[in-house]
Amino acid sequence: MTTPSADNLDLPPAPKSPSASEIREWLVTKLSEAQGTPPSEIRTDAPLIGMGLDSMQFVVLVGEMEQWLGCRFTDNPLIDYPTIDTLADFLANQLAQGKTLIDPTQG
Amino acid sequence: MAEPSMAAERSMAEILRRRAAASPDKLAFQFLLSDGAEGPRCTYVELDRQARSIATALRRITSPGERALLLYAPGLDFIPAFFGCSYAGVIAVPAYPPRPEQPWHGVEGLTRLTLDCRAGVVLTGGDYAADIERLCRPVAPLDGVPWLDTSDLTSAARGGWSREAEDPAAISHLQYTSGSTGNPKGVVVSHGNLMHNEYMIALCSGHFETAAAGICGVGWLPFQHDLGLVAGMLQAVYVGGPLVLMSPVTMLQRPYVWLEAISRYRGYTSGGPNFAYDQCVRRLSLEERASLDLSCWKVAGLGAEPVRVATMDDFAEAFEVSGFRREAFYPSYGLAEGTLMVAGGDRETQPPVVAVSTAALERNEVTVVSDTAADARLARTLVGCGYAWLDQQVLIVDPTARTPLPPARIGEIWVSGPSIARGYWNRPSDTQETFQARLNGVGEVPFLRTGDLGFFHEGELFITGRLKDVLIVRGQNHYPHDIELTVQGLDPALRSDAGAAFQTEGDAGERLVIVQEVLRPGKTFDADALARRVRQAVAEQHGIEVHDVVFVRHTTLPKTTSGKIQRHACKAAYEAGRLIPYVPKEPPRL
Repeated sequence: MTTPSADNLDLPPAPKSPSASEIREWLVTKLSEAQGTPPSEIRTDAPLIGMGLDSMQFVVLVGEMEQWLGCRFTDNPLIDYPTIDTLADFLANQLAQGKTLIDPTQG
Repeated sequence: MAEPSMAAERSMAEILRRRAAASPDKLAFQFLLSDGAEGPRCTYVELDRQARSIATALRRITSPGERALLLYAPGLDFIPAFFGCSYAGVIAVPAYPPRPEQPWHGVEGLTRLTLDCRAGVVLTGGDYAADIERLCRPVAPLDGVPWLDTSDLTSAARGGWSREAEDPAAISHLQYTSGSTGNPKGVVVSHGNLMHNEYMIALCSGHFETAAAGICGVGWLPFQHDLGLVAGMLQAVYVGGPLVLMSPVTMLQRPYVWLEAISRYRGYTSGGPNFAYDQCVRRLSLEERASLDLSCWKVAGLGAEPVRVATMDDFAEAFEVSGFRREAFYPSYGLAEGTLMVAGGDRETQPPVVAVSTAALERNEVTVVSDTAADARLARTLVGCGYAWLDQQVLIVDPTARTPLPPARIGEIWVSGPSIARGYWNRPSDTQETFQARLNGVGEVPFLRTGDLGFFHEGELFITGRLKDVLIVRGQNHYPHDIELTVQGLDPALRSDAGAAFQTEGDAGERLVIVQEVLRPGKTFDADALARRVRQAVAEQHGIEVHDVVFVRHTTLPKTTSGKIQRHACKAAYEAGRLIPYVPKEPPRL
């Protein structure tokens, strides 16, 4: 049997300051995995909530995002940035400013 | 040393009063923030003072026996509110507030729950009190119901004590269970029920000894859940040992914070369902695991759903490097109708595991297969969850004849004793049926029908499934789990724990239906061909004809919050024609 590790997240670590498109791609991959649909079918301009994930899966997704980006959110970012596009743009902007503690209510 | 006796007090409220008087400045609860840093804390005297202020305020606007809805975000604010209700003789009803990112999620359930218990007051508090009140505006039955912000009470009243809190038969709280039909049922838990169950939990977990030594527990389960309330918050006050708490969101987002807290505070007891342990295995790096010292963790509780052997194996292997020992796993069996705990085993021993023959299971018999690594289709591996404690009785009963069954026979689990709750709130016929069952229909002792099936083997209780899920075909019992496993073994796109087998009424009697989620199908995925293989495999291995096979998209079948499939909800969705068959984007090339 395999020894579990953070590599079990199936994704390489994030680049130092990922671009909006890199973050978008990561989110699309995650959603596509969780739903079993091809990445091409994931809409990036529609609210993430309503894509069939339950509330527990969302909490886990936010945690994995923090782990991947090496940052922390002071609040749930999906409240203020509900779509993949808006969330990716916001996060890329925050990370480019060197922030590691991200407050989604202070955009 | 003689076994510690049951507390002389008649309610948890009296216990808190004793602790506040005897050890006022002792730490009761320490909350951890989402990064694991120390947040709010409270001592027994502070808790008692807050509870009395709340009780005083409650008595101005309610009378004893009324129901108070407790709507709190994770944190310590819930705790004095729960005791404040008890002090005032008001029935506490813990419930989940609607979620900020999914405001509509939970509104319907909360509406039904409010209607069912006819709440006369709402208690809230903490940093999110205003948000919770706003999110509850769509809950129509709360219109006109007074709200009390319990973190806003200034006067530390000296009174606030009600005689109702001293009557062991009086109601402590309603524990709502969702129920498969979405109709919430409130389990009526008395003070006496709680005192008995808390004593049982303390005895089998060794908490009298650890509390006396100042050793803490670590908890993250919500207070709205019976495990978080009865085995977490109330158990800590019952034994007088400190409890380190965190939000369930913290644990889900950063499972490292949970285990790091156990390591840092030298936690003795902590636990959760399978998925909590699975998350830790999946998310913690070797470096993180190696940095922890979990050798202090002697009671790793596993409950709330059938315990998976793989969960124990994977976690024990991954966290051996942290000093975790497999014998710390403490599987137990319980349910809200039994206040919480029904059965638990010996501490610090390897949880008993048996592999039993699937074919024998179908005849309601238990045949232990020696090879535990046997073919999953021929044998099922089960984890024992202990035995009855104190003056409780756990029997295996033929659910039709209502007679006790001999060992090695499978039947419904019936329980009697002082921990069995009083019934379902305002549901006399459901209460009669579930809480007042009699052996042979005439026995003197009332039993709780758990609806769970199981057997005793070498003194240990093993759970095999839910009575209502069992499929009876030509007098033979079939466990849906076994049929689902057969289906899921046919193709990698058919994931485990993502399908349901159930019976539906047809013109010619009960017929077997299989619904199964499809995840990342290969290019050659052909639903018709796969359905034919499903029919063939189920016929060959179980001898049952499949009436219908429906493949649906991943994550579309109803599941519990812990990811367990809800067979009855799947059946309801199927019968209502609400399941949309999976269609691959491109048809397979022929």
